[in-house]
Amino acid sequence: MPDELSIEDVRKVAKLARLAVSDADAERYRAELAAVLGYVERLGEVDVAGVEPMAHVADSINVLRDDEPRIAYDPAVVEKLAPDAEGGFIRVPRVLGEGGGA
Amino acid sequence: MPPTVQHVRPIIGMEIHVELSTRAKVFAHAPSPACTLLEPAGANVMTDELVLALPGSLPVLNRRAVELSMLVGMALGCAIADLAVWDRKSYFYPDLPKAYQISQYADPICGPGVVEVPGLDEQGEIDLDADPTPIRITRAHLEEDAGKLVHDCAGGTGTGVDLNRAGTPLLEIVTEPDFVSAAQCVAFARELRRVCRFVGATLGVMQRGHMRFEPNINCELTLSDGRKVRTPIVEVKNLNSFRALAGAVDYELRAQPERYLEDGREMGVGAKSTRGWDDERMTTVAQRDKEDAHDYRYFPDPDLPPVVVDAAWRERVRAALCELPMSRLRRYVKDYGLALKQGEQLVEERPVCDLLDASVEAAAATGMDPNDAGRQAANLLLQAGARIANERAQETGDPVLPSDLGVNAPQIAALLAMRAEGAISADGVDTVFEALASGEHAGGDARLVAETLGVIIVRDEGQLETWCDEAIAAMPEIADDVRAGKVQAVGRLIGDVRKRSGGSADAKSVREMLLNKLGQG
Amino acid sequence: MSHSAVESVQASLDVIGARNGELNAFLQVFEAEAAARARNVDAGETLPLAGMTVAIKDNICTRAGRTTCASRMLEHYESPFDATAVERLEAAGAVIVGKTNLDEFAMGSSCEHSAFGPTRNPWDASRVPGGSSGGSAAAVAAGMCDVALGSDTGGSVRQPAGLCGVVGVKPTYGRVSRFGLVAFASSLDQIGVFARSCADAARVLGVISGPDERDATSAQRDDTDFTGQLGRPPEGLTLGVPSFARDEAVSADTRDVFEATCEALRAAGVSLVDIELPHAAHGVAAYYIVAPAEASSNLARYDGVRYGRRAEGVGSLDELYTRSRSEGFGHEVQRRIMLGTHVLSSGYHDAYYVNALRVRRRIKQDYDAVFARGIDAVLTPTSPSPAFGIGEKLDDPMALYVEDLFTVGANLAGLPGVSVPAGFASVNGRELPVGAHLVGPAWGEAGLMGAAAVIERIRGATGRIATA
Repeated sequence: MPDELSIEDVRKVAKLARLAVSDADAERYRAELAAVLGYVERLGEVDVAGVEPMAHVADSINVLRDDEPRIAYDPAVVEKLAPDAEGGFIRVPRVLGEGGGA
Repeated sequence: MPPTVQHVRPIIGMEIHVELSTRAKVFAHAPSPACTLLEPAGANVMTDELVLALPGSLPVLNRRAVELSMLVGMALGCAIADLAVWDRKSYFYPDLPKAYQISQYADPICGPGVVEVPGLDEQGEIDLDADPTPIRITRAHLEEDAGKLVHDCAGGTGTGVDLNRAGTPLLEIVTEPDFVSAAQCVAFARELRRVCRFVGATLGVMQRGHMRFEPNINCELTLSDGRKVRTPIVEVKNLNSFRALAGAVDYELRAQPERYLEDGREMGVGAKSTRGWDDERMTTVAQRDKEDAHDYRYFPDPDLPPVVVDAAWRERVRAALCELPMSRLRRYVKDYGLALKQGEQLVEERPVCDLLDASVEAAAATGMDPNDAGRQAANLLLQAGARIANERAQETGDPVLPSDLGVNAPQIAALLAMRAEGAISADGVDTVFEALASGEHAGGDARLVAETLGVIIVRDEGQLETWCDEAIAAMPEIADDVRAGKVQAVGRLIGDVRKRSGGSADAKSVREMLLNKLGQG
Repeated sequence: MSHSAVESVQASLDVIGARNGELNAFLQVFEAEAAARARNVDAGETLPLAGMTVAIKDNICTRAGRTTCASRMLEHYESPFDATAVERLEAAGAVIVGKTNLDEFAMGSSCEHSAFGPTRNPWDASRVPGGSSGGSAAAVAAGMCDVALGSDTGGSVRQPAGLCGVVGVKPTYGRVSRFGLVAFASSLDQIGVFARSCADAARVLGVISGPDERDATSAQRDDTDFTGQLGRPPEGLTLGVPSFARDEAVSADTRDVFEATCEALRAAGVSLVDIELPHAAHGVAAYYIVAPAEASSNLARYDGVRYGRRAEGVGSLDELYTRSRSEGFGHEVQRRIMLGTHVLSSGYHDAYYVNALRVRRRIKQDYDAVFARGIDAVLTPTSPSPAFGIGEKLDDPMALYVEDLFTVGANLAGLPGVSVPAGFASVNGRELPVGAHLVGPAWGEAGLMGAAAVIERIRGATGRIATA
């Protein structure tokens, strides 16, 4: 099992999750997360040789729907929900760079 | 003395994203913009709760998106998976509403395949006599597209998010690094577009971003000291035209040896970089390195049960597969004797090929030689057909194909048969075709229409006599010229008879008759 | 219950008016809408749940009012659509009287992690009602409404039902559509029902169950009448009691009530069999990897861009994300997101997340083996102790997490589970409810509710309205 969780680990995870963690909070989270990770260590005792991971609890397959479009939301709904909108667009601060990660 | 580069061996692979033309999006039920040539009426007019990633929304997989993926995969010679799983790929960006993209990681819908890219001549045109180049497909998977960002939108500041495109089905096709030149990349890209359009999987409008290319380029350099080194892999993102694809690959193949000589960096872990393409300056440009290389944290999407493809389903999809464009092109050029450009024009649109092939089949059933029929039918569609289609397109503002004119295969076969019998002239074929394409005679019997229009070639002696006498009487000086020995002048009289007959008088018989009457027969 | 809907709603609003100030069970009360709806129901044709007053946990979408998930992130959010379960309740004539409090985004076992204050246990206002569906449990226990909907990811319907002395049932995974349930952990979440009797719980569960094309995990099963075995006799019922039901974590009070229950059941003719669930003790650990992992993904959409809270005066996209999320989410939610992100991240993914999914399958296999032997249901206490004091367990995360000891197995295995009142413990002079917990085989809701009804009849602990 990996080593004890560090403050760096907490900062790295917070960044991945887009959460702001102050210095004061960082240690608190570190301790709490370490406590939980310490508790879940016990899973290492379980013999899971040959056991497939269970990501879906039901065994359904091929749940598909027909290619029939439904009526789209009125763009007024989109603007009403958006904290900031302009000319039908949802607005965010200016984004630099090309793409997110596709 | 520092070594120089003696030889550059390009090593290029590609990722291609194809927007599938389903009517609804792949996991959301909202309408998809990729099924029509019309642009959406404004921003954010094609959303629903899932496109917006509202709380409580859930994805449900669109069957047609899966089947189009399978169809394309089969056309590319790919194995279709027994088990396909959809995974969440997590990252934050404003064009990605859920902050994860539903994609496929370990169990894609299509496995390895191979595409035979047509050989090229020195001008980069298809050479049907050259051996095709096999390009191996690694895999193809179905995922959803992101929305679009517009900077300083609507005259304001900031960046505008438009989610019309978010959730459109995307087939991502990955190749092995088998390409060795920009020309080859483009030939492959063109063939891929042809095939995908042909099987009805995409509209393939490049300006709408229906196909986007991401070449991964590096080189093996042979240095003057005998060593071989590999340059770091460069991925060029988001190229949406063949010109940009060719430009980017060519640029990198020139730039990478130079970069190596400057910085000595070789291919290895952490050395891969991402670049964009500047279409005006015709160069690739470095992109801001993201501080954290993405950790996408792939895991199977719990909201979507896996897809299991059994033999019956595979067969149903395979039955929808048709003869592919390159095979048809080969037939049209080799067997029907068409020019390459003519063949390429035909295989651009499947409905036109289907009409051509059906016409040939119908004509062959009446005993006509299929290759003759093919050549004539092709010429009819490419000339009269294309001309009328263009005229109609100008009127309506919408694209029109020769196969959209309402003229069907049996009608075309009948026209070819009449021509073969000598019952109508080449002009007559065009005239009847145009009439069948017009509202008045649409759906009519080709022979009846020909008769109605009076283009059936008349060989009736009495009728011809009458017309000849009328022509001679109308042009006495010309008649005298012919009598006097100027035989060529008979052409003017033939022309007059043609006018009188509405084009139906058999030219050969008319000439004979006139010359006889004027003492030159 | 031969009152008109209007009378029923008025009675409900009266109790809410009298007690919600103290208990904080409801975040929103739909006085005008409920009254209007009640008039329509009375005027229309007879509907199956006509006039039944229902409270909806505030992580289930309603077009009425707001759907806040007890979070500052969605404090003003108005959903443009109703959850399928809500649509079905209203179509059956039930009247929604309001939205109830919960642990923020359903993450918690005490209802103390709400951004809008804790809910108090109607039996003792200094104590927690349990969580995360604490508001719904308290509302039904206090007689503020007839039934309530909650959501159950690791026990969030059953555990508060146990602490509040009401019936709380979670169906088989896929039985009730999740469309409109704000996702916490998609492979574990199910909407569940609170009621003061097994019969009401079974009836309402049946109404909201059934296939839904808007949820790909919704089962294509229409066997949604769960009332068929409510009158079954105790004889012939076989319950399996695993050894961990007597785990050292169980308090003396709870153990006493549980043993008394077992005795009474045996005396009535129920067969109690010792069974083994070898991996049950690892349920909490597996749950606290899988649930946060899925939650970290499901909550990533709350980014301040398209709806919900957006931080003010942000200068960059990154600032928009981090400040909106850190200001919008409470501490527990942020902790679970970080935990989930960590266990999914590169280098830890296989060791934590994938491994937990393997243990999950083992846990399911344990239950499958037990039911294959002819056991009708597995019996344990609902939670290790009766309701604890507000603030008592907030310092150590694991202290709260082990509350779910007996309930997580049903979520991990996708099986139906129910908590039914089994008696009361006397704690500091107050009577606090103790629940008995049953897990049944997949799709066996009718049999499960039948078994619960046996306990209900023998122990006679249901139906009482809680008074402080």
